[in-house]
Amino acid sequence: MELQWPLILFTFFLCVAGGTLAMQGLLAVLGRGKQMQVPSLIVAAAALVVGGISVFLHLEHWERIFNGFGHITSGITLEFIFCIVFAVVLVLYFLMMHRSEEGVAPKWVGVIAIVAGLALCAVTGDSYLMSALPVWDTVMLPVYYVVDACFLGALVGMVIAGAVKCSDAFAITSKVALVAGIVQCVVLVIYAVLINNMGGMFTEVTYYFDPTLPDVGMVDTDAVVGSILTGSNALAYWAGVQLVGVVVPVVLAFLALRANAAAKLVSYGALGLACAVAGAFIWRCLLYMVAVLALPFFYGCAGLTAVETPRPPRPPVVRHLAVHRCLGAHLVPFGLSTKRNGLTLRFPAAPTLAFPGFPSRPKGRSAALQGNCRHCGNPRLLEWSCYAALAEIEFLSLWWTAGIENRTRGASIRICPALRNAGAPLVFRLSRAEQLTPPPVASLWETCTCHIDVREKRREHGRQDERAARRRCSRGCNGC
Amino acid sequence: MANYAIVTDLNRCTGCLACTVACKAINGVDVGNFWIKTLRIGPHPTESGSGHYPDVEMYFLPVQCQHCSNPECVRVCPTEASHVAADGTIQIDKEKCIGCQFCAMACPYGVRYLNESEKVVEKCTLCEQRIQQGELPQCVAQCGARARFFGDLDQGVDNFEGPAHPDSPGCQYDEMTKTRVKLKDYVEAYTSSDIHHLTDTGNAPKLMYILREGRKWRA
Repeated sequence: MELQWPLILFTFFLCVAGGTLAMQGLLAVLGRGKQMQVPSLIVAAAALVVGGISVFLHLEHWERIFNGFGHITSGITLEFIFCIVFAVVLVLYFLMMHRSEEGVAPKWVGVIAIVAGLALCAVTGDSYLMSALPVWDTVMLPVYYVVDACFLGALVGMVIAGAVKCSDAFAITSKVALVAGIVQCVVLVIYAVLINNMGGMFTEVTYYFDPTLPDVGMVDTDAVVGSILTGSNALAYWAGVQLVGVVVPVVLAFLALRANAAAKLVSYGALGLACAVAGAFIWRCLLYMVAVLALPFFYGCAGLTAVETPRPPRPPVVRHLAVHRCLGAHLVPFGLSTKRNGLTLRFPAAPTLAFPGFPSRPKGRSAALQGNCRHCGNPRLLEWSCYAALAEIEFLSLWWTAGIENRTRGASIRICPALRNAGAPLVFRLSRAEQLTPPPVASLWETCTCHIDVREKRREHGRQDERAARRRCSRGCNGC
Repeated sequence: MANYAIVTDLNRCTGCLACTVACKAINGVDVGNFWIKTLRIGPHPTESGSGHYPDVEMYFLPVQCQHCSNPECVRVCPTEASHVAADGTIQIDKEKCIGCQFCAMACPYGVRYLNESEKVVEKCTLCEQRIQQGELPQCVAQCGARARFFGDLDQGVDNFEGPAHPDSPGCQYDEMTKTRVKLKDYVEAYTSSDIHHLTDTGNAPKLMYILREGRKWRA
């Protein structure tokens, strides 16, 4: 699946926020970390805000954000609710901290902070459990988020403890970072092995072809799920996720524990945090890269397909040129016409593309392709008045059936009535090869549009051409 | 109320892509988005064959929203934009959609697409605007091989209807569009074991595919 960076950032910052609050809650339960409280709350709040902004960027209609509370049991709604609960707990902690005589929040607030911090991460992971994506549909995902929160929160705690010289928190933050790091290493190994053995969870369709994605190879699910431990993503996993993301911070936490000095805590903690952050991002990216649907016709979901097939660019001029190449004609600006291989492409005097940003199509104007009707062999015009239809042909192999006459978005495709009346569903195909080279006349779809032809010719060229058009119509093409 | 679905006879489907094109035409689907797409499954070597041509088999598979009985997309939607309509189809209220695309991730069949101009997710509506008026979905009406039939599951798949003349296969197009035939009267005989569904990950897809003996169902 395409990497969804807003969601990657969202889950990461939520883990930072939850872990920081949970670490501070643990210190409150132990009656320690008085000087760390305000900085920890600030870091947790800031991480929550940054994560919230990140997920905002993911939404197409951010102004409808409050619709997100419309389905109480959906994962996203629960995330929203727990974010609000988290913010309330932050405020509660702050108030109770000030209210306390010792200046440290009471133990019960510490417990609430731990629960709120870790629950936020667990709910976030739970929202990604989708049976359509076997790699994500495992309890290891929320477990990873919770453990990652503990790890990142402890490392943040080390940095804060060293920075504010809160000596009673030096040892505990380092120990938690050490233990959480070791647990994270184990969790990641279990998760990677689990993914590696998920090949049987995908439907086995050995050979298939998707004409909407002709340049995308078949999904090899065994290669995808096997890529983490020993395949193409093994280096990223072992070096990035485990070595840099876990082993290095764990070693640094151990050294900080032994040093038990503020300066060491800050330096080791900051370096360890940077490495853990890198590992966290790499693992989240890997989870997106191996996300394949249970019915594996596409990498991830079709609308968020693999990066190998970015959507075609939409600059209008380029599309115009490509359309002409496809049909074997030159770019014809502003009222000129050209002829190649028996095909004539004529354009009106004003741009008529029906895309946003283009001038609106003048009424009655259209482009026309002239060729020979496959049924009666007479020269005919095939008219399009919306180039969206042409662009489809450029990028895909399509089959058009007789009888389609569609005016949606101004597309207007006339099919020879004789062909239609024959009853047989007539199909024309523009193959990929034909799109790239000037096609011979017989291979394109030429139909007669006699009535349109007459009308256009009458408007543009006067009645003389109309008579000529009518003579052609009378040469045996039924219904013209 | 009704429980609408579509059945596709894969032994008749020729992969003409008429359904794909008809859907795009009638619904104005964005370039690059496909509410229904026809895949080619195979060719695969036949069992107990030589392992290579000519002992191969293939079929075409139109994949669209399966209007599931237990839809994952509805479960994950935070705004209830994706919902189960009264007629059993899954519809999207575009006024509510926030474009989070979680439904697109949750769909096992990859048939949901973001409409980048309207910034909401779209998918097959089973041509709600047509079936409410007693017409057939466009992909059924336009099927090049008369392989697709539409109807109410509560009345049995045998009674699903397609646009064809019961007596005259070669009738004129305009006449054909005004007539209906039932599945059991039009296609070759089939049994319940010939009726298949796409991979079920707990979502219980409702759309059916008939694939008779001779070809192995793989999806």
